[in-house]
Amino acid sequence: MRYAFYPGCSALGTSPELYKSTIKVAKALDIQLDEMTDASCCGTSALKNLDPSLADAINTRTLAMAEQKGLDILTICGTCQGVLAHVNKRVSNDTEHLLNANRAIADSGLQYSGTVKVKHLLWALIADYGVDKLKEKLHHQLRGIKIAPFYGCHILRLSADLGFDDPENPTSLETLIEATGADVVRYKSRIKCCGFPVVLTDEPAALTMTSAALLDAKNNGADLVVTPCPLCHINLDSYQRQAEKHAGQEINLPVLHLSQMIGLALGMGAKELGIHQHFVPMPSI
Amino acid sequence: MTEPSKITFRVFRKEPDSDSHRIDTYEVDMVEGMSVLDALTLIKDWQDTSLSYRSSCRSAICGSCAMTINGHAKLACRTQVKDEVAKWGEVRVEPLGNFPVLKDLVFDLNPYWKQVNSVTPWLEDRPDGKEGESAPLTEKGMEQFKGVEDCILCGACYGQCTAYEADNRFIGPAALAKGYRFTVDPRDGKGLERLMEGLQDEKGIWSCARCYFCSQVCPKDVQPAKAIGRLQEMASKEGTVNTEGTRYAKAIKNDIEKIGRINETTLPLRVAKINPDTIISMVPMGITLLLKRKLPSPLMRSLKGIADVKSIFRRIRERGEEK
Repeated sequence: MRYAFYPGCSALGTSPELYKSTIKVAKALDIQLDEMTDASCCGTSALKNLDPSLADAINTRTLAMAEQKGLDILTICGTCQGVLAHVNKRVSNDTEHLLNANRAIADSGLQYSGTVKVKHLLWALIADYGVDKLKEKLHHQLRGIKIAPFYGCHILRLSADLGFDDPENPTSLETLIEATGADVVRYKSRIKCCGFPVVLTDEPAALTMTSAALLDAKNNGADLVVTPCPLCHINLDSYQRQAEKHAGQEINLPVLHLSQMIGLALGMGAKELGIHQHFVPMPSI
Repeated sequence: MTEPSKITFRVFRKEPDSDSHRIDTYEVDMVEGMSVLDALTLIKDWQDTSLSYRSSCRSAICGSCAMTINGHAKLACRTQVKDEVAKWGEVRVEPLGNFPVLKDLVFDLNPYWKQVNSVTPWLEDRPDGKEGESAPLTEKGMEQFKGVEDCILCGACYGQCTAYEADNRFIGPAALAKGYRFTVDPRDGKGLERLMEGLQDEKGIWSCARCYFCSQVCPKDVQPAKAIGRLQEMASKEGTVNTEGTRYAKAIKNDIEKIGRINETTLPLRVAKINPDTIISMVPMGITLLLKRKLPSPLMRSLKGIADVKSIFRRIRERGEEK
């Protein structure tokens, strides 16, 4: 298995533990990551909303870079996944969009023809690597731990762009939690918004969302939360103390990146996976 | 002939004068092609006449029967029982979320109408009162709001809107989609002024959490999230709006053009209202990020291929000017 690896701004910036743990897990699973060091930021949902032609063009450049390598793209961020998949569908299904985007990237010498697939690590582990093969490598260090899945919006919606999980009743995170031997916490907020997109523009509303999701997980018995999105991780972990103050309640719920959960189940140490870099400490397993 | 299978319906029940609710369970014989509304009608006709719900056209046109079905906002008339049972094994029916419940599945739509009305959801003459100044409606003009005018005002998007759930002062998806629909109508004279009244304040377009629930659940594929994006684009271009939201979007755009990536370290400073309170409130977060080694240097190096990225920005800008 070999991918054009698109880490995204967060893994390269404020979530270095996500980058580190992804590289380690990929190595342990013998997944080759050909990092796209010259790819630009996807622009997030903000740019996709604000300037669709520009979002089309900069992401088509990224898609074309992977096409040139003959590889599919692997993402580790829900929002990168959402934006890249959205643009990929737009330009692959509409010749006018593709023509416009290709014109815009012409100076780079690249052209995109629409053959690349964009996959999040979450999906790649299930669809490409295979759950059975994965289970053979995970040694159930997490048995007895109750883990709450938190998907994040852009890996689920719009489902027409993404086409992996059922947006009403997704199962991929639950599948991987079960593969580690841990117990899945069932709760409503797993598909809701963490509040990240408005945390700098409407912080009280963002913290209401963050605290509601965390409290829902906690009240349903969660020991840990796991998320495939570093932006959700920022709100659920880095903003958890503010969320506690906002809600007037203690939460104290550790939040893991997907790669860290897999890493722990592979027998790696918490420090090796950068879990000590989180705001909310995780008790030793 | 085989016995028809029994489907379990768990229905939210509440009396008008009570603060509490209960869940009543009914068994309904499965019939091929049965919608959730068909089943509710059977329950009311044959099992429990006290059950209240709204419905009218049964054809996904009137928007009356929006409700929460197995946790998701849907029109009962266009939701097949078979599909719900395949996914959930039963059918749980509740009123639309985020609305005050009057009785059973009937909720108070007044907060919703207030939001929709606040965007002046109709065509108006120019502010100076001159008639005939606005352009006639052409096919090209109609393209601007194609799909958005299909809204049947069912409220499903509010039932699932995460920003509205967090704070119901948020103007909300259907109202913003309506605001967009009339703003871009060539016959309209009010235009962006509609934005200045209701859409620019802190519970306006920039409070959308971009969760895409509205576009996902809309039974008519109106795509309110997309319409909100267009409004954000218009408000930013106008240059008269300077909110956290515009600064956020512009900061991301500028970063990508300059270095190819987002400078997360300086982003909050560029978005916040600069006053001592906001700066002081950022200090603890900054220090913890630093101690946790999660704060990269603000002096980020540009991508190697930044010239290519800049050229993309230039070409898109030129194309915008051609239009």
